[in-house]
Amino acid sequence: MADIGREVEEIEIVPVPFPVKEPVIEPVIEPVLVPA
Amino acid sequence: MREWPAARSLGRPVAPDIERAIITVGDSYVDAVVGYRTWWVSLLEGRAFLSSVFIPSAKWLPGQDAVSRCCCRGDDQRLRRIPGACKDTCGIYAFHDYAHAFAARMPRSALTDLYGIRVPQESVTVRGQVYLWGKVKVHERGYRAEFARPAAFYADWKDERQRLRVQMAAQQFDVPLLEVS
Repeated sequence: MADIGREVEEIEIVPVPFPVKEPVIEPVIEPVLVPA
Repeated sequence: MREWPAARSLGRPVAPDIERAIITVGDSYVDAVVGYRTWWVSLLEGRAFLSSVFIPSAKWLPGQDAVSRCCCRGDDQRLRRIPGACKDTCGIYAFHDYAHAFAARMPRSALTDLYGIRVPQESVTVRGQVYLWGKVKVHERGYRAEFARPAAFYADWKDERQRLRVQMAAQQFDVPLLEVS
């Protein structure tokens, strides 16, 4: 085995899911009917 | 430049002098450790694969992350014959820096004489950078990691045969070739 010396510490690096972007819901503007 | 949320490391804080790089693993990202190591490069029907210097049966294939096998469980019969080799020596090895990786040269004949390791004559060596993550044991001069992926190879060849194999491996593993400074 490669000589990497004495062990000094242990770490754990875990995968982190990519942030999910929340969908933007556009407000629906109802047309207003004005009587003639 | 894209802003990344803080990467997560469990256990003790990661020493600030450890070289790190953000990589994508599936649908996640990892703040991987960057190490330096040597592989054997072999060709089988035009396809390149890498293997560990001391355990040639441990193969690295293009597009697949390497996963450490626990030799303590007896996966490797050869290691079981070396006294003490199975005691907490598992993991994918790499050095902290380029200088140590380049200094750790061992002739093919010495591998055979000292460890009984026989490497196919057509295999050549390549030195490079490697991403490490998962459980990572930090040693004085290197690491032992649970998962690994080649990051780059050094354009360090002594003949045409080695150059062709290293260039083919770089293309198939989709890693850059770095000039040796």
